[in-house]
Amino acid sequence: MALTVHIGKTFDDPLKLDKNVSWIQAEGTTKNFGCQPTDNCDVLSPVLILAYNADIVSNNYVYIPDWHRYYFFKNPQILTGGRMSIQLFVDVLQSWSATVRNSEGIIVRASLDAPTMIPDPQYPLLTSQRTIQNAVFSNPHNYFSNPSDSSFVLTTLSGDYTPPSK
Amino acid sequence: MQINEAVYGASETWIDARSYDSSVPAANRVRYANFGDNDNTIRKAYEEELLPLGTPWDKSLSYAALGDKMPLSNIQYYYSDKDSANPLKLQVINQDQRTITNYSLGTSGGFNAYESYVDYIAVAGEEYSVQKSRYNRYTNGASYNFTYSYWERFSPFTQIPLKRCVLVPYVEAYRSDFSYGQQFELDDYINNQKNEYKRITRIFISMYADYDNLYDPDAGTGTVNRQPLNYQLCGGVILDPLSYGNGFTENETPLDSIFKPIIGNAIAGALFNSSLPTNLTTTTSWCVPVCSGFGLDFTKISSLTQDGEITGSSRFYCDADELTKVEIKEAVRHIVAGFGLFFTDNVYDAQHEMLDSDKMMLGTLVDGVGNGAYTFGEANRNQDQWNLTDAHDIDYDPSDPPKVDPNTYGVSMHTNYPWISSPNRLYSINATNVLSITTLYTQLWTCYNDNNVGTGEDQISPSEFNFDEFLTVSPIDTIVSLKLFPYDTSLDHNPIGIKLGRYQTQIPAYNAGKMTILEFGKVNIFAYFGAALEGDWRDRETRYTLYAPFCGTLDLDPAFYMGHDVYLEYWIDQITGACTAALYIFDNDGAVVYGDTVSGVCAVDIPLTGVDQATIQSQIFNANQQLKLANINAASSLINSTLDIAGNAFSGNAAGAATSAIGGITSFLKNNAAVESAQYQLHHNKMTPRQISAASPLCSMLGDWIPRIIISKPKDALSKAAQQEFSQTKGFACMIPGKIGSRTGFIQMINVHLIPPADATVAMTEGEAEMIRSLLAGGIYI
Repeated sequence: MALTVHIGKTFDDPLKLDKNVSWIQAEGTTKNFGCQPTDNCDVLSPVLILAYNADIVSNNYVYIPDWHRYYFFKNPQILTGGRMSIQLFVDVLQSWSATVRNSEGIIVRASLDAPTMIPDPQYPLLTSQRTIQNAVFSNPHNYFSNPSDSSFVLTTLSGDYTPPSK
Repeated sequence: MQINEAVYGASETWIDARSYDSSVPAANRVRYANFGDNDNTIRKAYEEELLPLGTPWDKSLSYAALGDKMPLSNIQYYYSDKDSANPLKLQVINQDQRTITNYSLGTSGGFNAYESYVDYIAVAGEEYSVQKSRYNRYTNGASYNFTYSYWERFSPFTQIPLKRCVLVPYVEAYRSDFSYGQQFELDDYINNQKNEYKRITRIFISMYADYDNLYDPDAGTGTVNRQPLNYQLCGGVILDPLSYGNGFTENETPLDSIFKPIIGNAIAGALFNSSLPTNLTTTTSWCVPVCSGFGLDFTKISSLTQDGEITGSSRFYCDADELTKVEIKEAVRHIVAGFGLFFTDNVYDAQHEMLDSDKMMLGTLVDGVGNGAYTFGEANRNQDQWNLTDAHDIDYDPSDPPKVDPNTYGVSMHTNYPWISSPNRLYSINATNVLSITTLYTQLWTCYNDNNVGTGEDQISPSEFNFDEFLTVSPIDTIVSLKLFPYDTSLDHNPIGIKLGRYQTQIPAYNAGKMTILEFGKVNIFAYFGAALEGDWRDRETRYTLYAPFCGTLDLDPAFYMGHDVYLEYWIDQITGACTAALYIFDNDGAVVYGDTVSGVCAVDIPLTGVDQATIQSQIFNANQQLKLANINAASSLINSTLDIAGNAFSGNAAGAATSAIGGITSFLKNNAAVESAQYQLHHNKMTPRQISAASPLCSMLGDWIPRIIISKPKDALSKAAQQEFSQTKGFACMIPGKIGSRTGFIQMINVHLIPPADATVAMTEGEAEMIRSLLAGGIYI
């Protein structure tokens, strides 16, 4: 069974959802490469045999239109008879990016402007190294600040009325 | 909740509540239901069986609810029974107290607030009594004369454009003798009428609506021109079941519990007519609902006879003399605010003020329930109603009312000044009169003899040194304690003389109170790492410790204090020197809440010694007495001896005389020695001091005297720039439900629900789905 594939290269992280891929071009359009999958081929990790082409070796990404999937290169090998084989592994993020973007769940880490109320053990907060400061209260009349304001209170027995407080 | 148009008519057929300029859009008009044939009255609704008799009304009229403190949620039923022994006396037979009350506002065409409560219809020779303002339908086949049933002209509002109408409260009040009464705008009553019209009988509301389209409330521009509705007063209907029905005929049990809505103009007071009928000889039993709230208690009845029976001019009222102008004004405002609409205190403001003016108030709603709170001015823009078009856009469903929180919030904690009377008197002595201490010492060391110690007029003279003045012999017994405090303890700086017992000295001191509260101001517990409102977990790692002089240190809970101003007070007992440092904040309701306290002692005892006069006086007295006795003995013994010698000499007993002489001399010498001993005692008394209080240790006095909050912050290993890089590559921990496509950067997600797009034509395998979930759980970049 013959397959037509597109071969290209991406420098994006494999964990990136939508990657920028530079496909090998021919005559202004994406070049189709004919190839043959091996027998008992796993669609998610197929092994393809195709004519040796030196350009292919410097690439790392494949799209198989018939299978609607994108793949990473694994283990390209040179075979006899002017052939080469490339083992592929499906890139589910790129293949199903529309579904992934549309999906919902609980986000437990995200690129945000600032940390949240959720404790983060991965964040390097040095709790054993501390900045110590002290803040005084705002009333300018700090009652205890001036020893010369100290006073005696003499309590006597007299039966006269004493006001309860100030 | 939207109006049920199957009952109250299609919205495009609703009827304007007043004439409007043609420029006013339909949505901006106050409108009535249309029960058919352009008839907006309940009478028509009954005829068309849209509101069948004896069944609850459709509650979609209720755009919001009244809370449990509102008068219409608290109704007392006053009842009189013609068949009872006291038909002209009233008794409370029940009361309705609801946590929330559903209601409809509207107007009553031609409703006369002063018409009598009971009326009659005559049908074919039979006489039936009918109570007006009640849901009562005479149903035994006789024709019913609707002209007697003015209340059936009630027309409910189905459209209330929130920013296009304003309520004005009215106070109905009478002169003290109830000879004349009138309804007054709230401001007019408070400012001009309260002194003459002291008997408040009911509270009403009137509605003013934007007549034209010249005012833009959102932009705050244009000319405001509000005009009254076709009927001056708005009324209402309670849509929830009531304890007692209204309207009885001879065939009807007076105290039935069939659901019957109350319709009336008043929103507080006697719900229909404040005057009570007295022609009870021809009237069956009846019942008057009276509702009170916010300090306006309409449970007094006027013009009672000596036997406590009602008369033709009896009315339910509350006494304005018992309330201040502010109390009445606030009570009326709270009652009106419960409806969740804009309102003012007078007609002029209702006609001309913009919705965010300081004279314009807006009742606030919590989950669609009005509890009497309100905002005014710019704060009105923060309420939900500002962003809605119609009252029925408010998020409230009468069939699924919110759970009502029964708790009372927002009551501040406060300190107390217990009124303790005791025989103690406190004096404050500070730097300006500290010499008073030494003068006092001098006084206390004064001896009761002619050789007074010290000089000057401050001496207690011996003649004053008596039990009657000091209530004791020793002045030091009148001293309870002398303590040194680290602050100025004087209440004022008017010098007074220290009084010891009943003896008034001229030693100057100031008044000191038994207890005092010192305010130290505030410290803001600052969210150092993040914004206090959004919250940042790093701020919870910050430690806060209160250093309270004389009390010690206290660890504070960052979660409690974060983002608040923390205030410090010292509560000090100036008799014992005990002190408590207390921290408080203002909670979310604006109430004072004390979060932490720590106690200690802030005064040091000063030992005070003085002569124990009682002891030394007794010693001196005894010594004197002994001396006197010794002198007497000495003189006596000499006389005895002389006589003896002489006697012996006469009898020729020379040896005996000599012996006697020797004995006399010996005796004399012995007694003389006693004299000398007594004199020695007198002049060598041992001083007997008395000490008041031992020196108390107060090491904390040696510490710092300035209270502080000590803050211990962890260090962030990342700079601001590095934090952004961390965020992009690793993300910050969070717990956000969301859609992946709405985010950028790094994302790590669990509990993923994979949703293919609507136009998907290819399906993924189960293995691929698991791979996606696994990658998302580990984190991907978008």
